[in-house]
Amino acid sequence: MGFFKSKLKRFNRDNKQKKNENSEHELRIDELLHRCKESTDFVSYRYSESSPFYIHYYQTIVEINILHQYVLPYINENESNTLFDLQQAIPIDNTEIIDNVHEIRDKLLTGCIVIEVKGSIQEALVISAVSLEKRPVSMPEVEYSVVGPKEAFVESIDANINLVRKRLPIPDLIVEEVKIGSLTKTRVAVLYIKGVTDKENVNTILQRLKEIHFDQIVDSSFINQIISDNHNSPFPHLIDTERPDRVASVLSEGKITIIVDGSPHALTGPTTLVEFFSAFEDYFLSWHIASIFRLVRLFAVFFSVLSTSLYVAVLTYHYEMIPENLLNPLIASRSGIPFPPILEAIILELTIELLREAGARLPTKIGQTIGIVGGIVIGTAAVQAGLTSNVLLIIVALAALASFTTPVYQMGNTIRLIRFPFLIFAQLWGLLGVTFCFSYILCHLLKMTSLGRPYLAPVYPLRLDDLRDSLFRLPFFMQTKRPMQVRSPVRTRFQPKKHEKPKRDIED
Amino acid sequence: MFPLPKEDKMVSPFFVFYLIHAMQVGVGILGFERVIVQSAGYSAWIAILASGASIIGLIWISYRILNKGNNDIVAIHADIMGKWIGGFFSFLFSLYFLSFALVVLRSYVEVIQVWVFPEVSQWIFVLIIIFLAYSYVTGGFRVVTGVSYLGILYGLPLLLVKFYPLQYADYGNLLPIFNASPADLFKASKEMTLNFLGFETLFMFYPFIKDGPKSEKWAYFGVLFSIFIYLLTAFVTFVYFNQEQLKGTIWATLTLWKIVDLIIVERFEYIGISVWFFTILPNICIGLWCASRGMNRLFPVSQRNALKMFCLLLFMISVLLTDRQQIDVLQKVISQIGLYTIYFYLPFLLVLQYIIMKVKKG
Amino acid sequence: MKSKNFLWCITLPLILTGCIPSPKVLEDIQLVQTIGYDYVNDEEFEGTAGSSNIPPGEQSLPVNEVFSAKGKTSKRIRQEIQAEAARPIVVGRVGLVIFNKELAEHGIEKQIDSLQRNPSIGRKLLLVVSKEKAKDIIDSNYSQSDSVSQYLIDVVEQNIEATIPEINLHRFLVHYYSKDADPFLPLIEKQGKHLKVSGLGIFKEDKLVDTISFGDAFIFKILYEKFRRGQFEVELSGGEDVSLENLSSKPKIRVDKRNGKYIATFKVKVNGRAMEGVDLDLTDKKTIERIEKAVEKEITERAEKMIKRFQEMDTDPLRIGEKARQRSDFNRKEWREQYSQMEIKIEAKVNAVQSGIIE
Repeated sequence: MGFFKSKLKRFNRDNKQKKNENSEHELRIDELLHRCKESTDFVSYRYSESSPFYIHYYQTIVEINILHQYVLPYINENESNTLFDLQQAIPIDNTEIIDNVHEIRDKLLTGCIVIEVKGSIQEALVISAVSLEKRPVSMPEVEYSVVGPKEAFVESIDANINLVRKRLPIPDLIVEEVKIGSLTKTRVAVLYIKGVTDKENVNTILQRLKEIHFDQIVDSSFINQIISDNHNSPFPHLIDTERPDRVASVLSEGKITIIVDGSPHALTGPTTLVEFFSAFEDYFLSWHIASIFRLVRLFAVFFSVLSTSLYVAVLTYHYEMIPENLLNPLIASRSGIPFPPILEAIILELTIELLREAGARLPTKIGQTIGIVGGIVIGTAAVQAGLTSNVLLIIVALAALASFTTPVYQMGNTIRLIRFPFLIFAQLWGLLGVTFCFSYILCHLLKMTSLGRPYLAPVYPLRLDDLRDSLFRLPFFMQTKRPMQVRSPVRTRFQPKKHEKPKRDIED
Repeated sequence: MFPLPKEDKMVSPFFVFYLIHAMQVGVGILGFERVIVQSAGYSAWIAILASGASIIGLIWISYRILNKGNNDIVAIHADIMGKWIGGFFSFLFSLYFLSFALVVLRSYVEVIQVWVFPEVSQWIFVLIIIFLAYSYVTGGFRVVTGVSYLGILYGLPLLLVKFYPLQYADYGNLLPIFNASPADLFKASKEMTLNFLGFETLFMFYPFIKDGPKSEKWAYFGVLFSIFIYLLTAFVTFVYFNQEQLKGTIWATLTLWKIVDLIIVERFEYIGISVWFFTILPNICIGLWCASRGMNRLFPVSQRNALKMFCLLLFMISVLLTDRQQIDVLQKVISQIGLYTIYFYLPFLLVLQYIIMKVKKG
Repeated sequence: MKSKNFLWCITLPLILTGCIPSPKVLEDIQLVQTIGYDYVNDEEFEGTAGSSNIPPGEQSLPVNEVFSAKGKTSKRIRQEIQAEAARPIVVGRVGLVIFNKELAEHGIEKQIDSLQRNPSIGRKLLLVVSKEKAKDIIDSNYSQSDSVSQYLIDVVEQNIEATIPEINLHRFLVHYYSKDADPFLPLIEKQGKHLKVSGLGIFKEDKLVDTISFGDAFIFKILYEKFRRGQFEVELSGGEDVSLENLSSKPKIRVDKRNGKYIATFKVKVNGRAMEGVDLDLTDKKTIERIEKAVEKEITERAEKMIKRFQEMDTDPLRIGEKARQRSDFNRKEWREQYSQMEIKIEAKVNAVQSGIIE
């Protein structure tokens, strides 16, 4: 970690130096143009011999039709030769006359056409004509849901904000934008609903974003890691989601969303541990079913983390605990296996990790085959060769399956990771070791915060109101309050209608 | 001189319930039945009620002192007795809190050694537990409160397991109801009080409670819940064991778990001992926190350094105690000190505070 | 600071690997499932450990393995047995302990003490007294596919449900430690290729003093505990055999003290369905009444006879003394003096209903 920090520091220093150099000698327009011309995709020409206008743009990021239809004809027609007249004539609203060369440069690089007039020294007309390559809005793949909206974020920040704003057509939905990354100049937008969101949370996020000194922000997960409260924690601090509906919903709860250009995942926070185990689909199902599913998921997490380590602990130290009926099958499956339970478990766990990793790296179709072939062939062969016991094989496979029920992918990874310390501790001190490991993780979770808010809420600090939508999901008419976690200034979401039905007789 | 903690370090009054209860239910509950039955037979449950009631009285006294002083014991001592004498008593209190952690830690390790891993030397478990406690206490009082709260939550399912021994219950064991002389009952009550010790930590964490006076009722609830747990445990143990049998059973609750058969798991005591760790961990954490906080208030030393020092001390003493007799002696000594502290020193403090406040005003 | 913590957490266990407990991996230990104790002489006894080896494979059958040794203490015997075993012997999964009758007559205090002191031994452990040498029972083949130990445990367990009173190590200890009750244990014997529960062995403190037959064991169960699913056969005055099935019973003991004299009363309520009356009209109310009367009489007579025997032996396996202790005016010395002569009444109330699928 220390290594990383020092690297970051060094980087920041480099960054500052560069900035200083830039500002030291004032950039002139012709210098800028000269530098740009080094790239072959930079186009720069005078429209005609008679015209006083010079046109510059990067042909790879400019929508050429705009130039052809709305700019060139007017340059031709227009007799005047000032930029102001031209600006008046061109029927595009997004034009500006800028005299700051740095600004001109930025505009040029984000897809604007720069028109310079002969003789003018530091002024240029900037016409926005961005051509963005973007894929259409598609189905969510990571957070798939059977029912409910099928839209997912794409890589374009504008499209993403569009998807959110469409769902929250209120002026209170504020978008604040910052540019981060000394090289990538990534647009990062912070979305929140004014009046509902705690100002302090917004300030925390904005401040942390502004403090980022990094050269490249390629994806929202960069932001997630850099602004997290504890850099050494394996647990994610913000939820990343690809569902605009989820974003709209958490925004109205009073949380904050970060959308990063070029990333199809938005970050939401402050968050809690239990929120990672709630799928957005829970809200589309009736509350009984949703509550049960949440509990099942929570159980799956415990099962996934603890099952193999308990197997190792019991088989290595606590044979007394195995019930009579299970004893003989267990011994039969174990006897003849050359490895102690811990090695057996680690080998199988690693095999599963290999399968998962291979499946994730390969194209979808091959990945599936690998999963099936690997799972069936390797598993059966290992058991038949007497290398592992079939009981453990079942347990490991179930544990892996259980870890995939976690709706948030990042959390699923964490869960698979923390299995290994449990395994080691189980081998060292049996059940007690598992307890020790568990209490260490508990300590970590208790100390953890997300944007300065406790991570284990609403369990600790206990907030009974918040429990309505965490471990369980109670019916909507009971969700009248925003979670305490977000410290919203307006806690009530809506006034519940009195649910009083007059008591009628059976046949009335 | 003694500043109050910052608002964001405080916990709501409601958590006093857990803090008090967590301190009272520790390692003692695994084997307290034998001790009280040896003095008062199966009428010993009366002793639980009696000593519980006296503890409620003492909590009332504590709150009178604390509400008036509106700070922790160190500040109150300094107010009443001045810097030097008060400081001396505060120092003793700090050591007293540390000794709680010591007794609980060492007794739990003893249980591990007898029941689970007889061949492993104690120091390794002492070390691990101290390390864990250290990492909790460095999280501050909020984290310590969190672990007491979660520890109780994890411990509660153990109560359900009491259902299994009840299948072998002989309710007649409890009869005749009053079968002990008042002297025996008094002795048993005295012994029972030792199990209720630990609420004195209130004197250290009181300033960390948002709106301290409001927490009084939660403190009472905490004690009531402890009484309930002890009564329930004693009841199940009494109907399950024969009186003579119980007198020879050192860890009645652990022996009781042996009969539990959960279909997928037999011999519940191994699980029980592991889960019990979450009940004793808060004891050690609160003890260490109070002791180190006291040091920090008394001397110009950071709480972290005081904590490190105490952890080292705790480790060394725990390792030096090698056999059961020594642990028993330790337990006896600490509980004697505790007994005098709560029954004599606290009322004395209340009176002294009252007088001095009067004098100062007048 | 935090990263230091993390590092510690990882390296600590590695440095300290020398301090981890020695593993007892399931297949590397010899799990003893039955223990037998036989009498040798007043000082020594013989211990037999029955266990099984399970060869690898899914359908493999367990192979029986028996170790035995003589010695003065259980520890000594264990050491001797260990010497001849291929793997470390562990007793944490013992399900049945067999005491030879001869040993039981000389007292089993030593063995019981070592059982209850060992923390790895459970409390659901079954204890029995055998007519034959315990070693012969453990070291023989039965016509079962299960392991011998499992078979022995199953036989005893099955009987505990329906025919003999429930007793395990915990119950035994409760009776054994009680000042006002004495323990009892099931009695087993070998019959050809089978094991049979043949009654109860009655103890006085730790010594076997008497045995009662299988039939009486059921009467004992009726007097001793509440249960369901029993069966009882009786011969009517006319010589017809009738059986009561699905029998449930609930005993109640009352101990009164009148003029310093203790009187005990057993009130037994028995419900059951009358079956198998070949020549009887079971729909007739009178027949049912006759059956009830006959069963009542049978239970009362046999119970009285049995209790008389206990009184003669001055042993109290039915915990009448415990019941007396619950009186506030209980005096143990008086009770001890009076017990063998005191009056013990049996009041049986039988309620039979006709059933069966043929009228």
